[in-house]
Amino acid sequence: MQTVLNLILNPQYLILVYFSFIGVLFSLIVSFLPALHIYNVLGILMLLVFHLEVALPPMHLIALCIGMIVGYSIFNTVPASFFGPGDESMSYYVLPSADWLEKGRGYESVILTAIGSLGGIVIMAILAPLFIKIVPILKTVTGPHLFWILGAVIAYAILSEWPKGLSYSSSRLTNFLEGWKYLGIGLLTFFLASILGFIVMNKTLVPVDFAFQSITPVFVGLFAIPWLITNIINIGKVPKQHIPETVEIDWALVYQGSFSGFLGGFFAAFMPIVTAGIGGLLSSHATAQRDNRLFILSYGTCKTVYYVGSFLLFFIPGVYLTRGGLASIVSPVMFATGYREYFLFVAIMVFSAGISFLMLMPFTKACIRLVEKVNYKWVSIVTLVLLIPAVFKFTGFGGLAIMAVATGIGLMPVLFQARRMNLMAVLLVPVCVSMAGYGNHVLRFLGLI
Amino acid sequence: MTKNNKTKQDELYYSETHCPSCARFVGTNTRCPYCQADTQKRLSIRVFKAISVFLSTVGLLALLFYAQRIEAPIVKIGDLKELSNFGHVRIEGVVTYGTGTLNQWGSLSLTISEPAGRGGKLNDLRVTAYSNVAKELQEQGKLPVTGDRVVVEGQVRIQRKEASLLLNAPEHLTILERAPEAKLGVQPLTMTLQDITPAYLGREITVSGVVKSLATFNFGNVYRLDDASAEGFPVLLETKAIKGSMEKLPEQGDVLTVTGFLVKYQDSLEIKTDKPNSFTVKGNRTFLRAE
Repeated sequence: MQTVLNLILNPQYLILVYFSFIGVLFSLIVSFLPALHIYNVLGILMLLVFHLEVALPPMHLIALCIGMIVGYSIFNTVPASFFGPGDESMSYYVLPSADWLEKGRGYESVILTAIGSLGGIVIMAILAPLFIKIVPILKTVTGPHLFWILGAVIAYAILSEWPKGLSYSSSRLTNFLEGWKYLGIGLLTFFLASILGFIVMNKTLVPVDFAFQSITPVFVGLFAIPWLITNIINIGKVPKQHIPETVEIDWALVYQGSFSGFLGGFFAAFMPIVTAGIGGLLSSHATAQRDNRLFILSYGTCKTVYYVGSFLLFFIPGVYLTRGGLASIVSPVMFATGYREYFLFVAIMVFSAGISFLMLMPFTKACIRLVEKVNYKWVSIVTLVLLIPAVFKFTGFGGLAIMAVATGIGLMPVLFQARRMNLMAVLLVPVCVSMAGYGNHVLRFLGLI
Repeated sequence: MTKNNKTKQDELYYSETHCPSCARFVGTNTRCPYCQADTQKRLSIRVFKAISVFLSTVGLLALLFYAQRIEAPIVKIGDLKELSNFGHVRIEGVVTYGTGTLNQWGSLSLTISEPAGRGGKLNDLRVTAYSNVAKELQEQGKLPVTGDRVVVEGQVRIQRKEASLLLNAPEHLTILERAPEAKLGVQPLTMTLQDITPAYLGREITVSGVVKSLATFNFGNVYRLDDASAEGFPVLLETKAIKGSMEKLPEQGDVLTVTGFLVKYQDSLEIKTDKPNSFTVKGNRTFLRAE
């Protein structure tokens, strides 16, 4: 008992609790502002750490990052529900959530997602010792096959989109064109995003000093600015929301949703480039989800396992698996060390999830009050006015050009009713083609070599 | 909300999200999915649709046109920092380790260096190329050897505070000048361990020494030869050299004679070889290598 108390009350570890709490608070602020993604904020934090040579011991920085990523993975449901989706991983969730919002059940939807997130954290904490054995084997087994697995994911993402058009014309051609109109927009989005991906991944159009965040203007353009524009041109209002004392769910649904979400989230975390949106789509189809409550809950698990799990994989001793945006950002300065640090990671993760869940309820209520009283359009206009100069400041004219083109592509699925998931072709296609060994052929065809 | 206290905005919202014919909710659809009637959309949506199509097609073509014409910036190895991670850059330097061959996985690994100021200390950068690129370089006779002056272009990778560069296309390697040794066919220098200095970095040399200790790794074996220092002088026999050789593997106390390139490893010098039959072993404590 004394050993345990010594371990828990050791100031060396208590300071990690402090840093993870700061990280959770950071993520709360990030989630409140539209269009800000935690990866962009972490990029700016890294800039400060490098430029100002802030002396932050590695484990403190790791605790801060864990707090931020765990907090963000739980809080970001709130802006996605009440202010619009932020990235591809969020937009997948929005359809059932928007339906609940219309019925005044937005708060319930957020809490269900958070229960799913907690489920994901608990599963990861339980499986953490097992990951040490399983992940190296998975890495070795899947290593030579990644390109075709990614190819299969791409094929599934495209083929699983159904025609939306409804035409009862006597002309077959009219019916055919109506059916293919939305699919065509999806395919066009996919194609254009792929070309953009080949350009930005093989030419540095931003200053070398900001190369570690060279993908930022792409994602700001593909997801953040279309989100802000949609908020600005949107004339609809969020209906009055009901804040219930309990949520309508039973343990069977919690187990079922968490399991399904974990499958999708872990797949997304383990596979390069695959995001929670894609992982969630695959797992929900694989487990044949029908219930909206189940979908919302499993989505919460999926995105938390994706965001946090991909960072957790980075710390598995001896594996050194760089997956997800956060691991890529911090890999120059952090690296996996030993079992002690790995299990400290797990402990901080559990603590951050608990704190985030407790903060989520007042945060959601505050956001509901905000959207009822303040026209959120003005917050979006101010953010847009600040965002564009910020991108220019860090990435110059090259970054602005990338952001403008990405905005055009990012608006297409929003305005023409196609899947936003097609936008992920910006990373999926170049990486998959390069892994298959044909990257240079495409680059030569495009004149980029 | 009754019809009387509806604002103009509410009416506009209703008219644009509901079918004018069947009054059902159609959202952002321009045609009612139920009765096929056309719905009115306000100007802002149409404007943004036009902007979206323009930027994503004409804008993308313009970006491609621009990207085809720009060259990656030339940077110094010493200027590569954590923030340069994933940057696409060009680096000019002299190859300080390059065997002119591919390694056991068919990929290419070399080290290029550039002088860093007055001290004469070298800034090193490990450059790698995956097997498909390495094979193309081999077919084009462009595999660099020690002493070549080259320009390499690729993606910077910084992990564990160590920078490296991934050469991702054969077109991204330009040999500005071949090494004088390569042109003249200079033979390896035979030296004693005590005579080795950084001045011979990148040269192929032959040395002999008694094995003081050895360590086995998955990429090869490191032998420390007795040079009167506490640690001994390190010699790396890569797996390719070991597997391709008929020689017995040295053990502690054996005399190892090896021909390899003098390279820098972290802050010390090391002799490294991946060529089969580049080493011989003499001594009583030798054992046959397990096949």
